[in-house]
Formats: sequence, structure tokens, C-alpha cells
Amino acid sequence: MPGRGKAIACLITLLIMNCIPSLLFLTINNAPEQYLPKSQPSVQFSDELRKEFPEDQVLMVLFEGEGLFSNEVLTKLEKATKAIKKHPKIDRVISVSAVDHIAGTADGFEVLPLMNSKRLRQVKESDRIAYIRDDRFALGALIGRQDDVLAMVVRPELLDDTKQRQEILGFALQELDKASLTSLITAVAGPVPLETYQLASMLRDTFTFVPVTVLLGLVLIALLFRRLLAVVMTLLTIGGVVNVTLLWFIPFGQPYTLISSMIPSLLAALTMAVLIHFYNGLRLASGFKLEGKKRVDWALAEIKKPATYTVATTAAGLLSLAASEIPPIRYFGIISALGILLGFAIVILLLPPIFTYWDKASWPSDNPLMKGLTRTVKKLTIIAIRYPVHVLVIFVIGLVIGIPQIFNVKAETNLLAFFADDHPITIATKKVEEKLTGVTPLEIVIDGDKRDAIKQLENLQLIKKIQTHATEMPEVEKAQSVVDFIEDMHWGFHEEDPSYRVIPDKQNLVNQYLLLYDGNDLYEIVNKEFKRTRILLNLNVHSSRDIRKVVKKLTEYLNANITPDLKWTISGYGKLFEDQEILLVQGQVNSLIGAVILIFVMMFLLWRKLSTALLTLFLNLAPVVVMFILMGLFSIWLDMATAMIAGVIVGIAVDDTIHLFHGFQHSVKHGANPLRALLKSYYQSGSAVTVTTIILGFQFSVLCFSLFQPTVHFGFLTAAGLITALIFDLILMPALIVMTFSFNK
Amino acid sequence: MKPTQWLSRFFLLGWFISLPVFATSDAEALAKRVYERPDGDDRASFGYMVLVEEGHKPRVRGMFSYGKDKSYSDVWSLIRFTSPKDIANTGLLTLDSEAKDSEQWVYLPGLDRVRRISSSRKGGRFVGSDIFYEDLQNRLYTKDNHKILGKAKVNKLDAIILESTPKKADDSAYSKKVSWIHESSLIALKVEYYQDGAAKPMKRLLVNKINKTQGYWTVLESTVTDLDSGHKTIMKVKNVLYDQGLADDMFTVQVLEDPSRETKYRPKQLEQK
Repeated sequence: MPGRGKAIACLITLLIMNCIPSLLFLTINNAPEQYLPKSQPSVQFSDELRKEFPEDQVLMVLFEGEGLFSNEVLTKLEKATKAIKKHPKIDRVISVSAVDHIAGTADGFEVLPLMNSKRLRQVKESDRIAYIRDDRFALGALIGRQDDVLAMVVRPELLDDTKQRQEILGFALQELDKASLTSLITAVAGPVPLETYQLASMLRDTFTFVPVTVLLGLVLIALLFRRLLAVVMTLLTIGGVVNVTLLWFIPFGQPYTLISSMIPSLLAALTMAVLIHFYNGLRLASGFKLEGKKRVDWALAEIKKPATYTVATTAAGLLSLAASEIPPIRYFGIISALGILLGFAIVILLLPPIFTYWDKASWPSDNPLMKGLTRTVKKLTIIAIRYPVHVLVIFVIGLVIGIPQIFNVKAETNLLAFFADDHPITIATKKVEEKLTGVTPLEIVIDGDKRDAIKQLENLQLIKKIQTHATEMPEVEKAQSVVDFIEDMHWGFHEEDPSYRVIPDKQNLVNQYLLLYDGNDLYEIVNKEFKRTRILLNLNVHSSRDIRKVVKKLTEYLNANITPDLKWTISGYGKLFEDQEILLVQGQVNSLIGAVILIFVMMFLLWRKLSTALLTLFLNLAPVVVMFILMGLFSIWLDMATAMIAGVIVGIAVDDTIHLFHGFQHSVKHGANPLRALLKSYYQSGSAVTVTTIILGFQFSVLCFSLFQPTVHFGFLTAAGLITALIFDLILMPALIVMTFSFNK
Repeated sequence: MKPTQWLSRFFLLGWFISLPVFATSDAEALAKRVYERPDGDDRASFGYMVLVEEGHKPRVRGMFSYGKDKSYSDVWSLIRFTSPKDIANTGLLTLDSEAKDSEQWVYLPGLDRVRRISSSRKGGRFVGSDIFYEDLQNRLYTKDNHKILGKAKVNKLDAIILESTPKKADDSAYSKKVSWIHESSLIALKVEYYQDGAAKPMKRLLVNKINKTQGYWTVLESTVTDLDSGHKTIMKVKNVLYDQGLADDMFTVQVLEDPSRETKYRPKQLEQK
């Protein structure tokens, strides 16, 4: 039987699609570099900088407890420092045993490790805290200002992905454990663990919420349609769509990131929406006593045009994110658009033969849930038709009250705020900042016009002035520059007389000090040409908005003070993070404009009438406005996680409008009275769109139970946007149709 | 008296002559022969240190260096920079001895005073070059264990590959050195330096030019390359004088802070080509 063969072939295809463990093939990488395009000037500058200077994305380990400065603990620390350094991906381990200390003696001068095994013998245990604190490089970085805490900084080489950061973190902790230091570790903070925690959170959410949302959808489908085949096919279709779509990351050369981790939930929900319309068609066809191929053909004919348009508009909404310059957002848009098209293709091509062959029994039509929904939809439609002006007035009043909230929406990303207050990384970061110094690195890069420009006395004085100014800013906890080394050399050569901890007044002496400097640390702050140097700042702020304020203040100061023969650039992790925010806002605006244009064009092609296209467009922009109102109301920032929600909402929300308006227009075209046409469309499709939205809303709401804030915001805003869109479609759209459509004709 | 080592040591030969010897094995015997390689009782030279960083014009420093062997393992040396102008007359005095740690003093004309430098700074970079202070010190061969790894050619010359590892890990900046010893001159034509037990070397010495002067094999040019950064230090000897009978008081703090007292022993300054 040809039908059977086709059905089996389709089923096997679906099963194969489900058997692809796509995540195993993906590069999982949520490194900050992923979030900025290579063409970005700050990224290019940063890449150039890293050729001469080390990475600023580090791992900080804080030690507290009894006997921290004892021979035993410090020896263990030295041992662990050496062991961790052996990892090929670790560039440097900075601890008291491995940091250069410039010191003066009665007749001499030395640059030696601050507190290695040799120093242990020289400095009494009772003097060690004071001795280490006296080193300006160690204070606030390796030893606390007040509390007796020690720190270790592990600096990796430039790493390719999050997996390597995870490996570094695991290796460092393992070596510290081998050295029996685990009991003294009270915090592990910095960009490396932050990123690994993000990865863990996003993977946990993928493996928790995708099955939960799918299961929830399956339960609802089972309750609504009471067809086992529908439940099984839903599971297989969603599995196939998600698996195959994720594989698209490979040809695009993109990793799986925090942003892309939202694709499985999104696709599961959107695919289910298409399926519900198909199943609703089958249910209606079954009600007309159609069977087999006729039933499937009827259902397909019923949904094909609106479903094609809804899929196309959803894909267009998602594709609008391709306008974002942030690669993960761009590819989120492109790949999820491909995913929704794939889902549609499966529903249109693979499911019909399966349902034609295996779907024998009739679909139950006495479903009380469906009946209840239909009744509610009917009531709402009638109210909207009877009182259109009231509906419109309430809508306008709601908007007027809500719109000021939009101005409270902040474009701000704070990676720490992605985690709950009691998350280990939040607690660790707070602790490090409280005991030591800020963990957000920022750097002022100064370029001279020729070799040795940085050695010049006048330039050193200027660098000192900038450093002092930066240190006086409340957001800056620590600042280091080349001047510190020169001052310490001068101080060391004068028996550590504090009055000599200044820049020498003779140029040749500066040059001779620098000739004599025999450590490595200096060249992490100035290049060997002495043409480029960095002033390293540790900020105690984390949000892009606060970092931007610091950058602005520094920019003003540098513009006013720096001499024409020097060039300056603000760079570092903090600056890249701030730039990312600018792109995020630009991307959001571009994406919204793109989505609006694309959807307007599609609406115009569908309705062939400007006023109708504008009406439906307006109805679908309203949920976006509501989304921004909610963001303002609940202090949800426009950040990495929420940046793509507007595009997603516009894309999904338009589905209901198309289904409802298409039914209305179709009936009018076939000569029906407009009022009748409106009621018929709402009675027939209203319950389906309501069911779809309820299922999608539930699925996205489940994400609110995540412990990871980006997932929570994505779930909450998408669910809220969809429910708002449904309410507008059920109440506002009939009111507007009544007010704008000539019902007297 | 044992042949002196200072000049060869300064020009990067000292790194491999300090190999341990327990005269029984071939490796130990070879290390001893290298350590005892004839290089005069004293020596004075003029040369250049050229620091090369890719993409930048090289930095050239002119300098005199003097060396004297006081005993089998006590070696004295003095380095005096002549150029560029801002570092001219900066000097470094090193007294190596088997009995105690090396002693080093530096003279900064800008400060017009001599200061002692910690002798334990073995891994410190000498004047920002790729040469460590340990490379300038006279490391006694008995401090290392030696092993012959085989034979190979370096620049078409036959060489024996000698691996040397410190007996006490904390008395060297290196965890291992592998030297390619030229059989007839006993000069190490190539040395690879390992740190912290790493599998790959961190820097490499290559001898580019050797010559016999006054009957002593002399390294005229060598290059040390930092294998991580690619930074290079080229050492060039332009003029060398052996066995002038350098006075003991040449190697004192007083001479270090008074360059005029050493001028009579200076070989002629030749321009760098």
C-alpha cells in the first residue's frame, strides 16, 4: 500500500531527526568575546593589545582562616602556585610567592618574590602581614587591606571557549586541594568562574526546562485533543525540530551560548503552536465526519494559508534579529527562523502521511475545556463588538498609564545580576570586593609617539597624575601603572626611605633603573619599547551602566589633560562589556525596525490593503509596548537576555492576528455579512488561538522557575507578551474592526 | 690552576660549563671538560648586546667586560656599559665563589652610588635581556646531574648532546638544560633551557660564530631566543684580549664606581657592523 510506505518513511525520517544528539556536536562557548563582532574597533584594539600584554580575564581565589601566614600555609601556597603554573593554558599564577617585590636593604637592592620559601626564613611570622601589605602591588590584590586574607590570581592564556575556562577552574581547584588548601578557600571569583557558572546555568536550564515545557505541552495536547497519536507526533516533531536546528550552529561556525540556549524552549513552543492549528483542523474535519486523507487534506487546506503566513511572519520577526551586530543574537534570529521553517515543513510534509494512514478514529468534540474556551472567546468578542469605543478608551487609558514606565527601562547588563543573591559566584564576588578590591578590570592605554616615550619624566608625571585621579574616583579601588615600579625602585635604592617613593627628578636615573629592573611584572604594564603602557584599574562596579559612567569621567579627564604627543584609549574587559551594551541597544532598535518593516510588507501582501496592514501591524506592536511597560514596572533591564524578546514577541504575536483576521476576510470575500464573518472567524479560530497562547504562555511561564535570571526574564516577558497579544486580538481587534470596517455595506 | 671561564661565561658559554661531574661516567667527564675549557686566566673584551623584538628597531648597548679566575671555582667579573648615552658607565660587578652565593653590585651613575644586588635572583633578567643572572654566574658543574643523550650536528659541526639537571631544584632558575657540545672546542653550540619541569624549552642559545683568539676558542656571536615571546638577545664580541694580567683590585666596588680606574685594560672599541 503506497500510503503505508509513505507514512513509514515519514515516521522513520522523524525518528532519525530525533536520534541526533545535536548538543554533542556543538561548541559550547559563552566567552565574552563571542558577544562582540571582530570588526568592532574596541575588539580590534583589544586583540592588538593582547599581543603585547596579558589577558585580564582571571580567576581569583580567596583564602581565610587560622595560620594563613604560617610557614606551613605559605609553603603550601608556593607549592600550589608552581603546580598550577604547569598547566599549558595558564599564563601566570600570581600569589605572594610569585609576585615581584622591589626592596631596599642597608647596602643593597633586590627584586625577589614577595613571600617565597626564602623570604619565609627572613621575615618572622608576626611581621609577615605588615611586610606583605607594605608592597603596593600586593595590597588589595593579594592581601586584604584590613582582614587577614590572602589571594591567588590565576591568569589563563587567551582561551578559545568556556570549556577551557572550566578546565582551568577545575585544574586550579584540584591543585589547591592537593596542596591541602581547600579548607582555607572562602571565595572563587572573577570572569573565569563567572563564565563557567553561566555555562552551567544555561546547560542546566536547557536540560531541565526543555523537557518540562515539552511535557507540559504534551499534557495540554492530551487534555485538549485526547489523541495518543497527536501526543506522540508532537513529541517527535519537537524533538526533530530542536535537534536538527541546533545543528545549524555548525555550518555557521557559531557556538552554543547563553542566547542560543533559549532556542530549544522557543522552538518547542512555536512548533507546538503550528501543531495545535493542525490538530484543531483535524478535529474540525473529524466533526464533519471526514476520514483518512480527506480529513488531513481538509485540515491542511484550512490552515495552510494562515499557517504559512504565521510561520513566515514569525520567521521574519526572528530574522529581524539578524540586524543585531552581536553575533549570538544575530545567529539566534537566523537559526531559530530556520527552525520554525523546519517545524512547518515537518507539519506540512511529514505528518500528513502519518495521520492519513494511522489516524483512523474520530476526534472527540465534546471536550469541556475546549467548549469552555470557545464560550469565553464568544463572550469577549460580543462585548468588543457591542462596546468598541469603551474597549478603545480602556486600551488608550491603559497605555497612557503604562507608557511612562517605558522610560524606566535601563539598557544595562550586569553579569552578576544574572545569578541570585545567594549564588556562590555572587557571594564570592562580594567577598572578594569586600576583603580585597574590585574585580572588574579596565585599562587606560597610553601610546607615545616614539620609542622610550613612556620613560620621559614629563610623561611619567602625567601618568602619575592620571593614576591618582583615577584612584580618587569612588568606583576605582586600585590603580597600577609603570610609575609604581619606578617609584619603588627609587625607594628601594634609598633604603626604603618613604620620601624617595616618588618619580626621580633625573631622566638618566629613570633610564638606569629601568635598565636594571630584572623582573617580568613591569613588562605586563609597559611594552619593551616603552612606547605603550597601561594604567590598570580595578573597578568595584559590574553593570555596563556604571562602567559607562567611569569611562565617561575618565574620557573627560583624559581629553582635558593628556598632551598632544600621547594617544590614549580606554580598553579592557570593562570597556568591551560597555561597548557590548551600546551594540545591544542599537541591535534592539534595528531589530524592531526590521521586524516592523518585514511584517508590514507581509501583512500588506496578505491583506492587499494598506489600512488593514496598518491595523494588524498596530495590534502586534501593542504587545511590544506592553512588554517594555512591564520591563519598566518590574525593573527588568534591556540586556543580553532580553534584547531579542521584542523581535520574538512581534514574530509570535502576529500569528493569532493572522488566523483571526484571515477567517474574517475569507468569509467577507465569500459574501458573508461582516458581522457574521467576524463572529464565525472568532468562534472557529478563537478557541484555537486561545489554546495555542495558553500552551505557549504556560511553557514560557515555566521558565520563570529557573534560578538563572536571563531564563526567567525571557520566559516571563515572552509569556506576558503572548498573553497580551491574545487579549488584544480577542478584544481590541474586533473593536477596531467594528470601528473601521463598514458594517453597513 | 684551572682554566678561567669569565669571558666564555659572559658570552653565554658559562651556562653549559657548569655541569656536574662525578668523574666516573662519560657525561660527568664531559661536563668537567667543558667546565675546565681553556679560556685564559683573565680576559677583557668590547662588544655589543643587541635586543631584537619583532617589528621594532633593535636596541644596541655597547659594553666592556672583564673577567678573572681567582681559583678553580672563584671567578670575578665586571661589566661596564658605554652606550647609549643615558646608561653609559652603569656597571655590574660579580664575584662568584664555590664557598658562598655569588655577590653582585651595581653602579648607577645617575645615583652615583653602588648598591648590592640580591644574589638569589637567579631567574632575573640581566638588563632586560633574555640572559638571566644565573647565566652570568659561574655555576659549578658538580651542582648538576648529567646525562649524554646522543650526538647531532649543529651548523655542520659534530656535537654531543648533554642533559644537565640540578641536584637541588631550588638552586637554579632552570629545571633542565640540554647542551650540544662541540667536541673539539668544548663550546656548547646550542643550549635549550627548561623551567618548572615543563616539557618544552623556554629559551634557546645558538652560537653563531666562534674563533680562536690568542689560542683560545672564543664565542664571537651568539643569540638567546625567548621561545615564548620570540624576543632575542644577540651578543657580539668585537675585540677580546686574554691574559693581560688584570689586577685583583679591578674587581672591587671602588673601581665599579670609578670607571676611569679600569680604562687601561680596555680593548679597543670597534663599531658594530
